[in-house]
Amino acid sequence: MKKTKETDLEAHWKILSDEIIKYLNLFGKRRFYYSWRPSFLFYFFYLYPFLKNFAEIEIVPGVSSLSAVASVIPTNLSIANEKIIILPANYADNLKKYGKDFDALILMKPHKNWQKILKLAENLKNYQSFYVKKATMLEEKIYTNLKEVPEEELDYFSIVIFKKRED
Amino acid sequence: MEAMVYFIGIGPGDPELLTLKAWKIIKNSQVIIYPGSLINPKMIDFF
Repeated sequence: MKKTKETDLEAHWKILSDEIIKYLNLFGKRRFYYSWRPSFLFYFFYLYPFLKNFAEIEIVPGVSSLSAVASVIPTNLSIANEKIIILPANYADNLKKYGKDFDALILMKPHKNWQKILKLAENLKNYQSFYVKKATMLEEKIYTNLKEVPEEELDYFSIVIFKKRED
Repeated sequence: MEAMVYFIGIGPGDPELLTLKAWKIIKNSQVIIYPGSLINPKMIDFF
């Protein structure tokens, strides 16, 4: 399911919740598990309104992709009083503005706005940039220069980090 | 309500980063639903 202006996402969430309810009715009580991403960007909240009257619900947090990325780049994301901002890459237009106030800028799902990010990155000269694809997976790739990222490496499971250089 | 649904964050990709709590719940679940395009295929071995 791809999100477009024409896609009725609500209808898709309803279909998915109906499927879950079907299994709930089949198996009766306890132990039903729905696996998704860490709760950082949790799509669960789209499903919740459809399920809340049919089952007891518990969220079990996982290791976030942000923690994974932080563990594979050769610097820290934040130390002492440093400030971090996390943005969907759609908001890359505001990078220059945020650069004044934050020590680490993190862009989620950068693959859709890559050219825009490259252009705006030129305004962040005092930041070290990282592109991390599929952190902790076998396909993990880390680039320390955004201009060197080949188009075929742009991926849904990727994050861009700008970390302010130390004076 | 007797039915119980767990929404589980399974981590960034490395199956070994699944939490112990998640693993215990998965082992005792009767139905597992997951988005095929968003999961490391190696994770399926845990199911």
